[in-house]
Amino acid sequence: MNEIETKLQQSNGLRLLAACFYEPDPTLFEEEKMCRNISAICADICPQACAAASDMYLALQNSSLQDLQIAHAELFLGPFELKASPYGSTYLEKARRIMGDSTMQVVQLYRKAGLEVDIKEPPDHIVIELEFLSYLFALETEALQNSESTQVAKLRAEQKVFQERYLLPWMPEFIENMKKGTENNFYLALADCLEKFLCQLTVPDQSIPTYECNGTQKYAAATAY
Amino acid sequence: MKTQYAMVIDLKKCVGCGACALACKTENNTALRKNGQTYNWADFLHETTGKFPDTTYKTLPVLCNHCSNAPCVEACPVEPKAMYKTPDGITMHNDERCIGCRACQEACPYSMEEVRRDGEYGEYSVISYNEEGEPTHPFYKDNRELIQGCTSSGIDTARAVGATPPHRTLYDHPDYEDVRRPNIVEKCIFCEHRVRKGKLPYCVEACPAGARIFGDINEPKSEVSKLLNKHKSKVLKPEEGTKPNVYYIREYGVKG
Amino acid sequence: MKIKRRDFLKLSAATGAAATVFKKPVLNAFAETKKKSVLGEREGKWKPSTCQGCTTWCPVEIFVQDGRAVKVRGNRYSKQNDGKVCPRGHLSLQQVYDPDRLKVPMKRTNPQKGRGIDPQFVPISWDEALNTIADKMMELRHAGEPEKFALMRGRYTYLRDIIYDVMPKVFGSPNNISHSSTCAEAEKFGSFYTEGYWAYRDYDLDKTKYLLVWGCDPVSSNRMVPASIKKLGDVIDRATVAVVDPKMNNTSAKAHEWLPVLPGTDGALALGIAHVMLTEGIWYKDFVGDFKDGKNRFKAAQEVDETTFQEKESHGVVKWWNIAVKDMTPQKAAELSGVSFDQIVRVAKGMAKAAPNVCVWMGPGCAMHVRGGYSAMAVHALAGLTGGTDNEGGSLQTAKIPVNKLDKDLLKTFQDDLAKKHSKMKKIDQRGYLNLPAISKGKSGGGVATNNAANGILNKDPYEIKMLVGYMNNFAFSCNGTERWEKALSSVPFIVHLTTNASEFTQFADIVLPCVVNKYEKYGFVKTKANRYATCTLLQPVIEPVWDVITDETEFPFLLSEKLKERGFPNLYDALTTMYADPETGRKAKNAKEFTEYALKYYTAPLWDGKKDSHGDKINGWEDMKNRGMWNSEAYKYKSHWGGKYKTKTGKFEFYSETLKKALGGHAEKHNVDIDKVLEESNYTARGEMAFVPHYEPPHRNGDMKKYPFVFIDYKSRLNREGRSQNCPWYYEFKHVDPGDVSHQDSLKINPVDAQKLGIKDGDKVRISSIGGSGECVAHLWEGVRPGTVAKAYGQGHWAYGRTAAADYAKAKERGINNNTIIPWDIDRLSGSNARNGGQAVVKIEKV
Ligand code: SF4
Ligand code: SF4
Ligand code: SF4
Ligand code: SF4
Repeated sequence: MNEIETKLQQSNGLRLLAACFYEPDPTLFEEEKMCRNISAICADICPQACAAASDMYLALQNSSLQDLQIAHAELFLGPFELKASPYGSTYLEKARRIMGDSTMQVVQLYRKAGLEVDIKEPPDHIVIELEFLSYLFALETEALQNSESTQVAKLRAEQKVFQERYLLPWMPEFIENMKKGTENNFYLALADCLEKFLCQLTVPDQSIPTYECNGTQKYAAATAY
Repeated sequence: MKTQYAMVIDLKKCVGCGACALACKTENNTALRKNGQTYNWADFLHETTGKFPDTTYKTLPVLCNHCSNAPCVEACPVEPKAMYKTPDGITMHNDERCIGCRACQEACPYSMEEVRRDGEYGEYSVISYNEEGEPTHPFYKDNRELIQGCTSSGIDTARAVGATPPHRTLYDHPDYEDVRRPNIVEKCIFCEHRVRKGKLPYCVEACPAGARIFGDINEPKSEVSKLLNKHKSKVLKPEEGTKPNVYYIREYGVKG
Repeated sequence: MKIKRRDFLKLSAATGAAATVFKKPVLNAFAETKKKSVLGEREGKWKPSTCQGCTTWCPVEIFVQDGRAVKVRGNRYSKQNDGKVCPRGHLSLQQVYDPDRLKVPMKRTNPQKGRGIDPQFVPISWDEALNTIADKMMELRHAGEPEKFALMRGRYTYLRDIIYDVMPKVFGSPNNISHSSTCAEAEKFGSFYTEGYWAYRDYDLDKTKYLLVWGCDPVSSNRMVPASIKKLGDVIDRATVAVVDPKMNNTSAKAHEWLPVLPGTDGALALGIAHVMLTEGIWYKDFVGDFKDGKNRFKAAQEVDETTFQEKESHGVVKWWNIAVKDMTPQKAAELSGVSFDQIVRVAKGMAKAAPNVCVWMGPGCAMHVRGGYSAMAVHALAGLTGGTDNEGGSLQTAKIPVNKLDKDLLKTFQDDLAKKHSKMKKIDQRGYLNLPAISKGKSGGGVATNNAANGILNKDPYEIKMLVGYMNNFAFSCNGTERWEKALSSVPFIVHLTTNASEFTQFADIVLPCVVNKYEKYGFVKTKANRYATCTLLQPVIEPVWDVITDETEFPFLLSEKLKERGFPNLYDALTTMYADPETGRKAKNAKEFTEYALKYYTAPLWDGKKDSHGDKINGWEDMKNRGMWNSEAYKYKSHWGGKYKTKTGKFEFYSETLKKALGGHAEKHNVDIDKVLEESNYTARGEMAFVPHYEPPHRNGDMKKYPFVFIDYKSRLNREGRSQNCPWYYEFKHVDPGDVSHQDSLKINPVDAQKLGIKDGDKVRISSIGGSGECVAHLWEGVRPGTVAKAYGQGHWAYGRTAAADYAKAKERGINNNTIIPWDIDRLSGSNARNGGQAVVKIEKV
């Protein structure tokens, strides 16, 4: 795997993992070979997650739609207490309320990347954040292909800020909550897979041109006001 | 001829009410005074002369002069410059490029590194600096409650409405943010986010007296050109050679 | 939340070749924004409401983005402010987003009451709060003493009828005490007892040729502020502007003439000007009339035979001359008032020359004195002498606003016998007592004496007040003699306060209910006027209230009425739902929100229901009304009251006030005394005929000038939103827009000559003391004040209200010093007004 391919697979993987957190749609998942694709990606870039990925596949085969729906709702939807709140701000803001400052800050980052949330969920929802990171990785793939090194550096800086400040800090608690909050094998395996997958993502290192890096870093800090 | 935006302030009409400066704060979400920085992109100077009862009192609204010969731009060390002149003659600040060195603040004859007092003592600063590592709006970060469980707090208010500051006016501009981040400077940018959309700078629109007039002085038919032709005008600190584009016409009071 | 795009699940493949066009990944949760072109304001909407920062009551619009209020401007339809607001309009954003707003109801847990005693408030539910209040009210009714309930009103809209009239009256209490006399009634006294108009006047700045501003600063406060700001520059170009004010103000700084009158001597100055006009024969004869033979007989100190003069639109000018003017030569006026002889003559002649387009703008500074009633009349009499009353370029009355009125007869049907009887008892402010005529609109005890309610409560005279409900008022801060209020409030067993912030008044409350911030979250309507146009403008919630709050004037009475009904007293509930049924459908309100809207519709219906010509803007129905937010009248017709149509006893403009004579007579008769006795008891010096004409009363100073050598001048900061903007940080940052003020401090302006004598330097901390109280502020040496006087703007000195307003809320430590603590308790007994101008307070200044 070269650098470009790795990036692309990481992007693909994040996108498919994001898809798993939507309302379960086993037919669609099956038709699009989602679990198999996840397995394949893991085999390429994240062998540690392979076992979890095949567990997901099996679980999906063996769960009824209804089981999946119930488990999904209990974990992420309510109406009762969410077993694993899918919103970053729940974890990042001490007051545990939705639409806190960190939420506004991720919106700024999306905007900066030329994106606007297009589903009816708060902007720090897990599916949105995973997709965003996937998007940044995809753009990096493009920049790498075109050998635009400043663009690459800029995107890496953005990834770094996003991962370090907004996504990674709440993942352990969230994944933990998922594991404690369900007995459904699909979601248990998903939690495991996500955990392992995120572990192999390296946060871009220091070898980035300082001007670009600081520029973006400072931008992210701006949202801290 | 190329555009040169300018502001004419008609002192005869101005009553020193303060609306322009406050309106600017609501438009541009500038912070409260801290660390000797006022964040008043628009402000006022006052002058009392004479002895009672022959006293004269004047107010002079001030803001960035958008100098044609701007020392702040000259001083900015980054390349391309963070403080630069737009083709329309606005002294623009690019947030992303700014490294917070404050060279512009030092170079600008209308700015002070630290403002201790106010316009009553002749002090103000066009350029303000956001301290590194400090939130821009600490007032709305404060979680202190006056009466536990009964009254709100700064951060509660910001959270309840989902913005800091809660009355934040949202706008976009390629060079500057609607709230500026730490470790950069900020100042009046002639509301370019409005001007480029065909609107007037917000202080101009908000002035109840119609004392602030904005336009292109290189366009002879503009209101600013006409006023400058009709009246004698003054600029601040002409001796500095900065060639300001904020002009003052007429006297504040009948008695001069 | 579903996956919308199947392609989202497809893998993108690496092409390997750099030349191939990269395919962007498919997005599901996102859409792309047109990144490069993003410039300008984000989406939002301008929504109409009304600003109540001062008595201008501007129709405004508020820019709302994402449900948040972010900017303010004037209402585009307004014929009075041309879409602009004064600085306070913008400042109010820091009020609605004040970090110290009350979020929930709370109750006191410390039974001890007093300043500095922590009430130990704890949060409670709305239910508990309302149940407690309803129980207390029922106790009073069961004991047969509903009069011991009092309602106190502060900032209001015209929906006040509900909480202020209907609620107490149906319950059975006479005690609805408004705040009006804290800043206006003496001024209205001046215009009422000359031209029969009990209200603020309107001013025709567009046409005036001479503007005489007296005791106020129109570009800062009082009336039509944005319009005055807009017009002053042109007025200065076109006309002459003269300003009477003991200290330099914003208007005088720009004006042709500044007449720095000695506090309290306004009557002498006004009479001096009148003396010049009369002796020079330059009064406006088309209004006042002339000597039958055209020969001027007005000569200093000489009586004139009344029969030689033929009056036109006025009444009693010769009598006035004989009784009060003839001896007030400009020399004498100069001596008394500290304004130079030359200036008096110059101003008098200038005004006469500009007559009748003379605008006399009379403000509280010449009226709110202990003996201010007559100086207000004297100043307003100049409008008569120059023919500028009710005339082009002068001071005007108002066009009609045809809104519905409270249906008093219907109201009565909901009063039971107890309520009928007890709501007619004497009021707690003692209005109408021998020593408190408060003869508003000609009626003994017709007006409120807000400040005297403190005495009534303290002395339990006419009876004890056991329960007090205050809404958006803060008498412990806003009334001079704050200490008296602190004592009075400490003595009331049960107080409910409806407020946005924990104010000074709140510190004495037992139950505190959080309410809406008017301009942004409240329904209501107000009537106002400017530039010849009368205006009715709506307050509307342009945002969802930030916290769990209620609308004081409507929701509170409604919710309470439900609780009272549960307790076997349905009258209030029945009254409210019947009186305020939806005027369109006749439906009765089922909840407090519905009730509020129906009530607003009830009052404003004639403006939009299309049934009758409103003589103003045509509005198509309720939705249209809400969208526009306001209604303008047709332009006011000049001289509407000329030709004997003034609402005075004679129908004329009265220099000799038959109207006042009747009013005083009525009051004297009620108490079986003569008028001289009334004046004596009211702390006035006039006796005999003098009582019926505008005249000079020597200023009343509270305190010994030997001990307190400086006369204190109180005025309004142009950033005051009443006493409520002091928790806004912007207030302090821009305090220097008040002439002579310095930001971030409570500045006491002192003339350098005096400062030198006292060894005080600029910026020194000083202690200011009077017989009323004392506190600390900062000296600013300034030539805008006369030696022997010191001036400080009202506003600072809160010891509660919030983190920014008070130095330390928890310790009840004030930031600066409240002028109302320095100004001792006193009132103008004829009008019922608080007396805080005219230099009633004398002070000493010490360096600390
Ligand atoms: S808003 Fe206009 S009148 Fe008021 S201070 Fe500013 S320039 Fe002067
Ligand atoms: S006023 Fe100062 S900041 Fe503005 S252009 Fe001139 S030098 Fe630069
Ligand atoms: S032009 Fe805009 S940024 Fe500059 S002072 Fe006016 S409102 Fe503020
Ligand atoms: S404070 Fe008064 S003048 Fe200013 S906008 Fe509000 S109502 Fe109008």
